[in-house]
Amino acid sequence: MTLKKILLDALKNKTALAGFVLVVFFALVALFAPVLAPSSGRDSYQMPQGGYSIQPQAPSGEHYFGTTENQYDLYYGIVWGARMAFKVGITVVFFALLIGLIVGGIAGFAGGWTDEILMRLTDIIFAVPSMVLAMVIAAMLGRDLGNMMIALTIVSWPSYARLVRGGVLSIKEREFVLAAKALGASPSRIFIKHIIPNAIYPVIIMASLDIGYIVLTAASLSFLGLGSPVGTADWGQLVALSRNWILGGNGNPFAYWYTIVIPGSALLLFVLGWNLLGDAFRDILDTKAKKA
Amino acid sequence: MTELLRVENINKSYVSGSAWGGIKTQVLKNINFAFNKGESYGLLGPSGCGKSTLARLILALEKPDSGKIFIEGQDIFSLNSKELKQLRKKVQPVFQDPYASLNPRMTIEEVLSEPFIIHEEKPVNTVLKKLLSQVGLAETSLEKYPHEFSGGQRQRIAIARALTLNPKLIVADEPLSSLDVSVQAQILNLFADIKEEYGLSLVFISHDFALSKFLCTRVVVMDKGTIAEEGPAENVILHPQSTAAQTLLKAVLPLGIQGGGNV
Amino acid sequence: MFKYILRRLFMLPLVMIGVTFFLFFLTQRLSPEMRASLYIQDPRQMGSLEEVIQKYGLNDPMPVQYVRWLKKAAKGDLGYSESANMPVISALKAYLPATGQLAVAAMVLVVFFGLWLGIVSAVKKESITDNLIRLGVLAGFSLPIFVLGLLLLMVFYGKLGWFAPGEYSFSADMIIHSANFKTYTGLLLIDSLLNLNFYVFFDVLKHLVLPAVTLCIGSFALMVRVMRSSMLEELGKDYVRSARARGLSNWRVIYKHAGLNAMIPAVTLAGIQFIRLLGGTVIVETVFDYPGIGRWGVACAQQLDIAGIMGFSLMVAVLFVLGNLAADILYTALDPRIRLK
Repeated sequence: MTLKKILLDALKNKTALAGFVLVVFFALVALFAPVLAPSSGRDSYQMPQGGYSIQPQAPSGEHYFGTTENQYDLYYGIVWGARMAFKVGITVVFFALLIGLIVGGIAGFAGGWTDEILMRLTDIIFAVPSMVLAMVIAAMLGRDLGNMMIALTIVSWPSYARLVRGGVLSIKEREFVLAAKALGASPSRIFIKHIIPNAIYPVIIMASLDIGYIVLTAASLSFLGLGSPVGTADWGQLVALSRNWILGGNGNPFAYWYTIVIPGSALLLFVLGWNLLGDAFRDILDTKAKKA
Repeated sequence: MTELLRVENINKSYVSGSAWGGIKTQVLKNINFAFNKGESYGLLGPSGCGKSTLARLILALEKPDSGKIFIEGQDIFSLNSKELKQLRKKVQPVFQDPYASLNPRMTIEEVLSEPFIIHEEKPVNTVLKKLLSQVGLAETSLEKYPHEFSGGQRQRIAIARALTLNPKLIVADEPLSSLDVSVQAQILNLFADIKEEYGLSLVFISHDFALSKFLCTRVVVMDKGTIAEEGPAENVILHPQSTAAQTLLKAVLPLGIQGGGNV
Repeated sequence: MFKYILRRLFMLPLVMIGVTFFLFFLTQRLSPEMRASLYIQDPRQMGSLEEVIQKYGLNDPMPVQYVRWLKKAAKGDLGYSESANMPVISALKAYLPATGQLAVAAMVLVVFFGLWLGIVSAVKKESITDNLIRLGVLAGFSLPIFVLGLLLLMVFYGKLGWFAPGEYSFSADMIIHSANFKTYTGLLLIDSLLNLNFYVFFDVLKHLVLPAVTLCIGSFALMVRVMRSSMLEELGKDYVRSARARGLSNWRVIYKHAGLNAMIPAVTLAGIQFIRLLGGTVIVETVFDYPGIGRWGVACAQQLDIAGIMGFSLMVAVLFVLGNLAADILYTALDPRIRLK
């Protein structure tokens, strides 16, 4: 069950392919952000303001997607927002995975009271819906992108810890581990060379597919004003800026449709792509598990 | 004749269920037997009789509730960790499932080098290659991963691994049960060969009488955690006295016994 | 089994302490005047900052402060919520019914649409309808709830004027707060019926539709999937084939026999989904300006209303843990019939 084989299997599946295309599309946008929407200031994530009027402007030659409230360029916001999404998603998943690996690995390997205590710790985090907990933590740490990522990491690591722990528990009993023990290998050697390399594989896959969900939650936090500072290129924030304009003006409620539809579509397609990939991979791993 | 293995009054139970309270099952009850260097022991019995647990105890992978095990005179459960590590060189396992006994993430070279690394010796390439040829595998196997080999080949690798530290005793837990019938004979012969070449003893666990008879000098038949019968292989297999041994013989189709022995 | 429930219940207070301790720890980074709200019931009687710090030991070591807060909380004194302008306990009592109403309404929709679409999807397996439903469901799941909510507001309120944000209109407000309107349950939908006031009933309903639909679309994906796979399994069974052979029309065979059997695992799932909705209500209530605890919680977070945050978190944690426990019990009780993918 090598990685190559899994990827090839995955691409045969239509949903996986669709998801893959979407994700790659956004990845390219994120990668080429400096080219697609060159920034002039020092902080590229700050959206440029085309003026100071509150009223959003419709798409035009100057602003391809129009502008939001306070004249932030929507096109710039979307492009750099893609980059921001990947930045947040990857960072959070990476650290949550790291913590989850250590905690879950130790819990599964050591067993006994260590295991109990660590699992109670995860129970505490699971006691509150992740959205609510992330919101409360982000609020108390202060409105800042880093703080939001910390909040999301705290909320995410327990699921990975549980997964890793489960994997470790089953690997612990496998014969190659017993053989290593019979050879005289020290517990740390067994843990590092035998258990961890075999336990992390499925978890890494699952974790990377969570990036969509993380970005969704991050966008919600940004929408509530608990994420990045005002004016940062962040899809959630862009939607928040559209809130005052969804009822339109001059008798036309759809007058400012672009302020919500464009960032909303970006979010939808991004998350959809990851979910399609996630579904396809989950199906494949399931059938492989059944065959094995 | 030096005594190689002595199992004395071994008792072992397991508690199933959560740490908060479960059911205690007595898996091994008062097990006693011994044999000398050069002899080989067959452990026979139906599934669940405790054979694998006993194997794990002999390999010092678990501790008994009471009783002692001596390997070449050393009480293995009273050793400190340094001494135990040294002792491990003397007794090595070959397990039943060839698909689970090799770390899928390690190359064969890493698998065979590991015993040396653990005991702070340098793995020598020529030695590894010689081991491979002993078990009938090509030198090129070193760079490959376990999934590139068949079940029979993996079992050969497991045997090679067991041989790396020049053990005196190999504990084989149903090493042929998961293999194709056509391959079983090859591996069986391999065991016989290495037994000769290295002059080592085997504790060979199986549920097949003919295999035991082929490889072992003495045989123990276990039933529900106790020893039902013990003695020279020929006697026990051709003239089983206990009901446990008789039932086992009737239930299993022997490999190679001609004309069906009169039971 | 019984032991399992007992063990979980035993864990509950420990988990509560763990959650509140952790949050309390975070509050320590904030200034004493902000933390003072945790202990007082009425801001007008607060006095000067030094007095407050002295009286409530706001500079004492953290564990000491925590125990002090815990004792008060156990007695029902959770402090004063600045954002709501009332004691935290009162805020919880005031806002919880509205959220309950919303959650139940959303749940009804989730079950209804989940079961219906799941059955249709299974019956028309691999057809365009099936794939459309599955894609639609996945899209609904991928769309952030706040975007969906805003879009629905834009169309159904801004353009069509059919529904509106908030819980009730101004005119209904006057009726509800008049002497004639008696409060029985706190749930306006029920209370209005009990008062035989249909104007209020439909008014509240009108305001409930959009938020409930928004909440529902975010959650019914799993429901549809489970119903679909469960239905497919039922349809593959012998009794279905024999019923068809006997000449019963497709309609009766499908909906009556198989549907009812297939519903069991799906409905169990509904129970579990119910508490998951809690996370979504926070956003939905904010978007629709719906006066439930979710909106209050967000306001507390945005304004750093510490007492409010602690009270809100505690309430949500209790509901969530109890809800999960109830769902787990339900799940294992119906275990033999559950075959989820």
